[in-house]
Amino acid sequence: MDDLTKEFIAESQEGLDRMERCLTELESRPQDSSRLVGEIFRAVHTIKGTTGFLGFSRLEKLAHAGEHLLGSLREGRLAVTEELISGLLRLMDGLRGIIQLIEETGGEGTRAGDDDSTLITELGELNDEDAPVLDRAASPVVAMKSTLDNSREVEGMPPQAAKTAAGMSNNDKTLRIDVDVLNRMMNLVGELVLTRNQMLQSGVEATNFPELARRLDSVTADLRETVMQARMQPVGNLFGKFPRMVRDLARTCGREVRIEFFGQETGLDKSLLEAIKDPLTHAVRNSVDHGIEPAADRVLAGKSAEGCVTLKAFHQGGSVVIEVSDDGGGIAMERVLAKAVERGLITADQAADMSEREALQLIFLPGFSTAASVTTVSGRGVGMDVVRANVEKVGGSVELESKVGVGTTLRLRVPLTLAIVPALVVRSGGQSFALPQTTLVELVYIPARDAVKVIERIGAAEVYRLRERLLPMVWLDRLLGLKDSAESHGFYMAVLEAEGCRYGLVVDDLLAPEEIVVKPLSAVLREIGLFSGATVLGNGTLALILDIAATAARAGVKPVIEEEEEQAAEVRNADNESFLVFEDKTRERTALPLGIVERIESVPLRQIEYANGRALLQYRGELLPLRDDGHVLDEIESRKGEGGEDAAIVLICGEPGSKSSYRMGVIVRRVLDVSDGTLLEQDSAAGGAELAMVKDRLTTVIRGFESAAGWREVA
Amino acid sequence: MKVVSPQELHQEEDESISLCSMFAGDESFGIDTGKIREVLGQRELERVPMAPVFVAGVVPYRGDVLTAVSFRALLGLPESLEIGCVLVLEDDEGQERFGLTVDSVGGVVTVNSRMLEDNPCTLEPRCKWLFDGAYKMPTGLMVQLDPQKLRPSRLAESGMFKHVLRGDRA
Repeated sequence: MDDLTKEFIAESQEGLDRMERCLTELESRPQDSSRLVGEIFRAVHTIKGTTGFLGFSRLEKLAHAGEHLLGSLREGRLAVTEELISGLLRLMDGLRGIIQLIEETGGEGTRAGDDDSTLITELGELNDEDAPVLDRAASPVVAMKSTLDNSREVEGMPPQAAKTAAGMSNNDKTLRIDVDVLNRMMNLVGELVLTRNQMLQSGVEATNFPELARRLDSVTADLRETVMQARMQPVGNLFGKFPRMVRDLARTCGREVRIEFFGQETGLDKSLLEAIKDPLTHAVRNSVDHGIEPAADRVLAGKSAEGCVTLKAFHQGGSVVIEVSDDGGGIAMERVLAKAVERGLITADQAADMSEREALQLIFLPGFSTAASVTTVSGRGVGMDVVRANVEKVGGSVELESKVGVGTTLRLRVPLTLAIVPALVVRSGGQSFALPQTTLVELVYIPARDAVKVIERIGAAEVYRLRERLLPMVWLDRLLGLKDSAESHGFYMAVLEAEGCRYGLVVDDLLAPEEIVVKPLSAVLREIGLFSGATVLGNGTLALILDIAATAARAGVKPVIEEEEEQAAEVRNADNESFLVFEDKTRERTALPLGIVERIESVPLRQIEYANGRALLQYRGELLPLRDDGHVLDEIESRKGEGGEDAAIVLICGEPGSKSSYRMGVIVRRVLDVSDGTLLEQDSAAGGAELAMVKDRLTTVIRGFESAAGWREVA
Repeated sequence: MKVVSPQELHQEEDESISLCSMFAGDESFGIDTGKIREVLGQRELERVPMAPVFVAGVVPYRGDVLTAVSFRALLGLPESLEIGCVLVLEDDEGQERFGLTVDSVGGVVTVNSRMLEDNPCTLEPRCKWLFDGAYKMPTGLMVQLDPQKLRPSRLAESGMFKHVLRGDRA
């Protein structure tokens, strides 16, 4: 295919996308019709003009018929009716179909099946018959048209939807970039070349080498950011197809639904945009089919007859959140529970104990659907589990909120980019592997002398008792057929969770957590199915990135509902709280509520800086004040002189859910445990500090970030 | 004076090709230098567990992670104790790059393509598929290889190397 045709295809598709948007808008806001019709007219006109020039006569004929109809509309000779919009949508599907055919085969298709004459006649009919007055060039087929048209419309619905879905796949491979962004990128590449030249000329021993290294660092960071920016696409591109889909769906389901968008300009990496397309489509479909009630029911419930589906996108702490909410009937807990019991997913006893939140989680189990009957739209068993699996595959998460009678909100949370992932690097059988942090739940160290005691067996399967739950253990070296590593001091177990599977992966050693750049593997290695890519580590060696869900499947770990049981257990002792217990002052145990600890980092002493006598840490572009109640820093400093290690353990803490995103670091001597505990009554003996009983031992609890902020001022 | 037609001239040019010589086991092999992107020299490879036997591992190369084919494994030879040399090869369209590990890399030799001798009919099928023929060099025979056939995806497709080699090794 020559460049001209390719360009024509890309341009036409954009034109058609615009047309689709305008058409759905036209139906809801007829007062704007002159502008919208003008835009649609231009799109079709451009296609017609270019096709004639490229010699696609079939396309030209159809576009011409459409243009003629739009011309009448523009001149005000036709009124905007539902039939007209449907006809125009069919015209758009027709055009899109031909363009897709051209893209796939290079020709527009001339076989018998590729005849547009019915569509063209139909468009002609619309032009004539719907004209309220004047200027009708007497057409003989006027009479019986209206009924015929309606019936065809209902039948035509599913294939149309399918066609649009297929038509969406076209723009996947190309990307439009602002020339400014490209120029900036080129500038940075130039800068990179210059820096390299200087480095090569001056050599490692040169005095200005540190400066050059710093410059290289900043240029790389800039370049990375610019490339990211270029990959960012507004989510509005994805939302664009929904008005049409909702319109068609609402008609097939007999609902009245309007769709609203917020935050269309929010940027998201192109590959991620592709990845969440299907889950999002599914979610919107669910909202229309299951969420919004029929108009009569809505009126009875005191709501407006027209339901509303809202799509909202926004940034939140390093990830993008996309919310799909409807003001429909919400999810009835009793029905969910009844269904789950009926399907054998939970027992009746479990159901009785479940809170609303846990019950909602059931919806994500495979094979779950509350739809009373199977419709063409949904309820065929492919459900929310697929949505969750797809979103989790790209390192995201899904949340669901619902209130009976008020509505349902589905929240998809996806990372900003896929290319760079925080991961934990582990060693097994003498090789390095990277585990994505998103799947990592916790780490357990098992000393060699305890190994025999703590690893229990059921038949040949080995399990570990983790907080009174049995966790299947998977030995990575055995699974991969690696050499058994020599006996060592012990081993680590990474507790991983992906797609509902939870298991302990046993590895020989843990290396540093790193932000890794994901590189794809060749087809031959992808076929193994255990590795999602490879990455080059900081020390220059390669590490394979383990696909956690595939590893689970290979090891035979099945998704379990135990998860729900555990949550139930958690709720039962809701007055208890989980604490991260650590030691900062000598002879004392201190704890932080687990919810506010974001990460545990090991920070080299030289990275801790001081200003006004306060210790500060630059952490991911943020300046964190460090709290060092136990004077651990001084201690490490003095130990460093004796050749001890010079890294401090810092707990990165932030208030979850608070908008201020105020964060701080707490320096500790060592982390002891994660455990449940009960807060004690405040009394004078405690001297103002909050105390808790954690594992029957007295523990001080650092509380509240208001006080932390206060502490900042005081310090 | 005889006028040399452009076609004849073209033929003459075509006749001499330069091959990069390399060694695996006791034999020497040659690959058209035009198909070789770079000779990386001795490199430690990161092994890939559960990979087909002919995959020696992966190697980083200019921002990509390349799959390296072990030539010794293709020949059915046991693994060498020494670190092999890695070459980066490219398929004709420049779409797929991959690595090839051999025991060592020699130099560039120029040969006359007309001197290429066909594979002997007694050669086992695996080698017959792999080898293009041999040149008679003063030091011994040099077998010509086609990089196209060394592509990991092609090797996997051919199905010849998965099973035969496993059997050999077992």
